[in-house]
Amino acid sequence: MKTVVQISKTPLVGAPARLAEALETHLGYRTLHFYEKEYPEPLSGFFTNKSCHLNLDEKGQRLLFEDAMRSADIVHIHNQCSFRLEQHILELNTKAKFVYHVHSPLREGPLYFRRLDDFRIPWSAFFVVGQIWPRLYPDATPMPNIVPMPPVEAPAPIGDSVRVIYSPSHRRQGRWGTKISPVLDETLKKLGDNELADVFDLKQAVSPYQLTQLRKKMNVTIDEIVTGGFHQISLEGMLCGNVVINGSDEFSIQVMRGWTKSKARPPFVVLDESNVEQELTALVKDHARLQEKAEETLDYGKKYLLPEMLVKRYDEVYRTLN
Amino acid sequence: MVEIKKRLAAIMQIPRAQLAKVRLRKAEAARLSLESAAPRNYYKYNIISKVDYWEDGRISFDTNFSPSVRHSTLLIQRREPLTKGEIQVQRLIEGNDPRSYPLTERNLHRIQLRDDAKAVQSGRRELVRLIDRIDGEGLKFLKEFRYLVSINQKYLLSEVVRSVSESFINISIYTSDFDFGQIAFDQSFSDVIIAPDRSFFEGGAWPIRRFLKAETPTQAYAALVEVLNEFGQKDFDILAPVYGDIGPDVGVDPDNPKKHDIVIVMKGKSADAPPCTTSFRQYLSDCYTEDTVQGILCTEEKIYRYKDLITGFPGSIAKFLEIALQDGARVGVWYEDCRSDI
Repeated sequence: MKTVVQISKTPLVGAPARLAEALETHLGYRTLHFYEKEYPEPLSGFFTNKSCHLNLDEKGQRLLFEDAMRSADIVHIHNQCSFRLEQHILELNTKAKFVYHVHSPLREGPLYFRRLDDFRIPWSAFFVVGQIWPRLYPDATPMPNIVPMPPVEAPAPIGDSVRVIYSPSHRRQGRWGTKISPVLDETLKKLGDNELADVFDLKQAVSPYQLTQLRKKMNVTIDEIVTGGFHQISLEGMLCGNVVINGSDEFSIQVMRGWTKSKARPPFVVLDESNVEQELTALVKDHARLQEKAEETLDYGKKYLLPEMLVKRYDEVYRTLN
Repeated sequence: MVEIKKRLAAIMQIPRAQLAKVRLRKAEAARLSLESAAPRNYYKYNIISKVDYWEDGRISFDTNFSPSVRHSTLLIQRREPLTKGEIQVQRLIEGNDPRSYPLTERNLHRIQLRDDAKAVQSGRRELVRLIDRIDGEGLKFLKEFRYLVSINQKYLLSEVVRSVSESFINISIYTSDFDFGQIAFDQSFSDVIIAPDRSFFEGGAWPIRRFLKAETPTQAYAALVEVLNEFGQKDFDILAPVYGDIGPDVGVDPDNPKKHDIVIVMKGKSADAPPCTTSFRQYLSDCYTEDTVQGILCTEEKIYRYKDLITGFPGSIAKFLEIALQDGARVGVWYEDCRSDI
């Protein structure tokens, strides 16, 4: 049984912790995730209930980390870690295989540029989150984000009013990182004002657990429609039986087809600023089409997005490391 | 008259020292009022930061104004020793004749760079060392510029600044009297290189996107003005064919309603498109070849930007796509059975 230590500077919205959980639950790996710095309020604590905070100056945290590191077969570092921590990692274990996994774009924070070469660690594999980022790190292997939840039995019934959820995790600008669009905001406002949909446009931070529970009551999940990519929220929406709207371009679609190992295209409703008002309005009015699309989406989620299936991709690569 | 007499009497009651203070306050208020009403001090050199390349101290900026994301230019200007050609190019940029709007006093701002060679003690990679010197406010401020121009740059400050924002267009100028052997970094990240000889810049991590030959300072300045005009905002984003056979039957909407930068028209059907199963680079190489691509259309800005990559496609279609996608291009892919993307 292999031991994998996951390390990140921040909680990375729970992605390393979810991977660790899936590796342990479905494949029997021994895993721990350590992060160096918690998010500030209001996100503090949202993504770290299954992770260990690591401050090398704190005796207990240091002991836990050093113990895990000494027995690690694989050290999987996400995005970046401090210079001091990197030095300590190399002091503790040089026999482990090292994997670098990038989650963020270039020419935007928090990384700004390719960080792989900043480390003195001898990497055995280079992963990139398999959404929009592979085009920025073309030599990396695209890997899926894991959504550790069972799919719902059936899509939520459509009531008198279609329920639409839009919950961007931030409202920053940026070519790759943005999740907002004035056109989308205006469209959602019109849908609500005209009582064509019951719009849940979440402005406040909600815990991931509560957000998932809420999403299960929804009919439509809106990710973002401006970058050409999709995010974790699209995957969650599919497992919740929602019709999922995002702006995935052909490259994002083909990346997802790659890691799902499926011939099928993900059944997203792909929209952009030029057509979101017209198409979304038509969609929420057509309950039969919406129902059919929700079922198709949930079927896809059940076939291709289960954590026990996706985590095998990590296992396949871990086994080949040398 | 009575009123005036009353006020004079009142003033006479005020002790002389107090009166002087009141006058000073009024003068100060008047000065501040004038300053706030006037545009920002567009003094001749508009230096917004002084950077000692080899120090590790904070790089700060005069952020007392708002640059234009469409027009503002940041010139990285080295301090001595400068070559004669470098001084001449700087003077031509200051003179701004023929005029280029991004080089006007309002839009041209400078980082004054001291880059005398020193030994670096830091074990960290240069990009990390430099970006860590810029605080959050500085990073946010830099994102507001459009053009980044450097002359005879030896080290990679411009690569760091370009990394701050996807919208930066980096133009690197080298003059013929500069010792190219001093260049201590890979220039191939540049959007545009203006220099007397192309060969020195080939063989980097990336193929050259755009090269303009300039043997004299006057030619270098003319080339700079030319590319600034090319990158200027356009009223229309019309797509024009740059590769292959794209007849009217393909049905391109010239208005480009989806705001694509590039459109790839494929020969096959969407169901036959292979997925990305290994690296993205491999996927592009496998899928976007002369055999599979019927045609390519680009907006005017992208045609200029990638002129050296798309003129005869000396590399490959896949390499061009890889670079354009990394630069943030919005690329539509159109199959035989799926032509609604444009």
